[in-house]
Amino acid sequence: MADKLTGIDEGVLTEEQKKRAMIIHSLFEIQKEHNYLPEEELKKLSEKLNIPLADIYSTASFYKQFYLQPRGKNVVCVCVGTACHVNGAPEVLEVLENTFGIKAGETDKDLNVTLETVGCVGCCGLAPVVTLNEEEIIGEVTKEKAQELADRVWNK
Amino acid sequence: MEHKVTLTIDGKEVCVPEGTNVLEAARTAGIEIPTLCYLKDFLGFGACRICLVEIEGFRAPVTACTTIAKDGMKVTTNSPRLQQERKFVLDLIFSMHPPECGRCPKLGVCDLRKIASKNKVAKSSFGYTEIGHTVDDPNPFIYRDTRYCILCGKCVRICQGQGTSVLAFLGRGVKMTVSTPNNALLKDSGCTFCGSCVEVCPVNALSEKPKIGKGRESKYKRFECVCLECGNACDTIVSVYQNEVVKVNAKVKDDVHGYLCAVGRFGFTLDRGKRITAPMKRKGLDFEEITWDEAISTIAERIKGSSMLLSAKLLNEDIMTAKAFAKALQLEDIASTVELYSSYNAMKSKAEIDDTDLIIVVGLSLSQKKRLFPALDFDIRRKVRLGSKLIVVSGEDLEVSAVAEFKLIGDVRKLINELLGKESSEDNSIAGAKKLYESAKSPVIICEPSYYDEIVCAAGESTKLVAVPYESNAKGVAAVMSDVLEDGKIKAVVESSKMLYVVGEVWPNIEFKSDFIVMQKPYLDAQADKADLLLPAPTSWEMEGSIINLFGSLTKLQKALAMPEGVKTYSEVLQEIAKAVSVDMDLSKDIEAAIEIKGKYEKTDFKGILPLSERKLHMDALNELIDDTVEKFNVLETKSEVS
Repeated sequence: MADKLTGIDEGVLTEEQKKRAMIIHSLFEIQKEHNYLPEEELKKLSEKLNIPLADIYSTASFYKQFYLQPRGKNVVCVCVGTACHVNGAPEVLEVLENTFGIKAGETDKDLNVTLETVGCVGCCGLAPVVTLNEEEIIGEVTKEKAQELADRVWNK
Repeated sequence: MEHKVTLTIDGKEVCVPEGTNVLEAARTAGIEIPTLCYLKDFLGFGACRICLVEIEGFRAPVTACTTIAKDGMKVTTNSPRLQQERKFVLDLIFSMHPPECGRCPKLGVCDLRKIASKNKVAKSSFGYTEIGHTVDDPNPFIYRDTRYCILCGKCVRICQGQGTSVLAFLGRGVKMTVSTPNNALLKDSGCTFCGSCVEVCPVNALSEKPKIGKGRESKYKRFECVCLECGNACDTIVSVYQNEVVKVNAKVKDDVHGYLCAVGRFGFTLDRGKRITAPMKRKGLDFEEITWDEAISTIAERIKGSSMLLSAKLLNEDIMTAKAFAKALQLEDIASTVELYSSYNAMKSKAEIDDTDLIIVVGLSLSQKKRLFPALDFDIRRKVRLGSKLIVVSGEDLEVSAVAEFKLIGDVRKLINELLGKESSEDNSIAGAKKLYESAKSPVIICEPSYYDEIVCAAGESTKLVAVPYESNAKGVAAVMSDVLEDGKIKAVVESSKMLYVVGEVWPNIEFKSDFIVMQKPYLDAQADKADLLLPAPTSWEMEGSIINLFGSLTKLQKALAMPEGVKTYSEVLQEIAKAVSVDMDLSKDIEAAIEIKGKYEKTDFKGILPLSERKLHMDALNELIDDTVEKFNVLETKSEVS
């Protein structure tokens, strides 16, 4: 008998597999609350699901969407895909790095901002592109525009 | 009946049980398919890609370890195309593996190197890219160098399979490593330092630290020994280099690595006190060395009517001599340490778990993490992985119950009657467990010795039942000497005020009341302090003979090291004492006859002197020593970093 909601045959998934299937969902919930995955929370999850901590870390470290280090309040993401690269993404990145005082992939010590790079955002017509907190997309970024953005984020 | 499938491998017809993978099927036909990541008893993993084979009707080569054998399959394990593919796979592996084999400590025993030379690959055509990985890990036992890691995942799977689950794959792509949660150090990650991961590592990524700087492994002499530290009595392979133990491995049986805990594998590095190499007499608070002649005559003077305590860590041969000695001198007050925890009757139990379909663990504290019978825990998990069922009956929750079909926690004696006896229970899980027990073909019960009688009463005498001792040769003592020894005599023996002769290492928490104590033991430790006369003794590496292990089977030990000068075996000393008092001993050399278990089951009310909670103390001392060593090592490390 297939389950109405999941379409999965009864008995197809063992209890163990059901628990394992919970991992990713739980990790998202934890990350939503803490902005990253604190070790303490993962330990609690490991006890609750009765899954070894090592396995949970294995899953969490596989996906780029999960963060094991604390992240800043604002996440600035610079696209370094081919189109953006050609149109000056390296210079944009340099401006942001210098203003924030951190390298790409790092977070400043006050947890104000995290600077990341991404392969392609999907709007190469606007290259070079920078996104802010995954909600604001800034296209055709020049050095000046980058500086403006950096100042705005820094003083936010 | 089990379904069988027939397939052809390299022109040979092979018949194997359904569900067997092609690699295993080839092994049954005597064809060895090279592999780096395959672990017998685990599902095929397909990580190394070395075991590629061609199968008729398949477009491309497939990995043999992940392909299930089907009827009528035609498999080719060697062809020009496969050789080319294997070379390419090796080419890729070497692009991330340090190329200078000449400098590698594992040279000569490295699986990767063996396969590479067979395929004539020496280094990668892509060159070698080093990716920032960890080298070493501050602990005294395991050396970790992940630059050598080829991500075969053997260590990850064995660690998970035995229930410790400390290692995992972290990250992905070229940055993937085998590491601990949050890249913690092994000692902070819950690692028990059992070294199972080291045992299976095909390359130099994991190795035993104590052997570093002690020559090449191919130069080691290997001896088959038994670890005598706890009742589990694991079979070991002891490697000796320049008359020194440098490495201890678990014995490989049918391609499967056994298990050794940190005590068994790295115990030889522990500081257990100064070695006693000459007889010593008490002089005030200290000891002074005396000659063997003086020692023997001192004992000979007092031996008539004295009492004797035998350690259950002695080998069968020494126990036989002790028996002949006690008979010749008509010593009445003789006891063994078995009486601390078991009746001799329970120690006569024997059974094998090899062919069982249901294991029932009753009242025994098993723990991988606290190192309480960890090898038994490992064996049980292995049986479960291969399809046996497990029922745990216990007063506390055990780690191994994670793989149990039913875990029954509560009053053990009551549960025994409900599960195995005629009493019925309303409880659903007990009823379910009972149904499973009744339908099982050959259930084996593994129990704490004090529940032995209850189980026999409830389940009947024909049940396959093993009472697990706390000392390695308790079953040997019971087999050889049970007609001489008497349950519970130990109380009278340790409380006697006459001379007490303690043969072998005994539990640290026994209080003696005698005014003259002779001890024969290898190390000058806290317990030796209670002695008035100390005699040197061989360590377990220096003895040759046999024991009876917890399953009741006879196991032989080889002599790995020569005894230091001045040390005599237990048997030699007993013979010399008998000679000094001019008594003839009736010495028989026939072990097989001596250990033949005599007599039928008799119910005794004796359950051992020590309360249940104190029975693990013997192992506790060694466990603490291991943990201390790990702790102290860190202190040293940090100090050297500062300076």
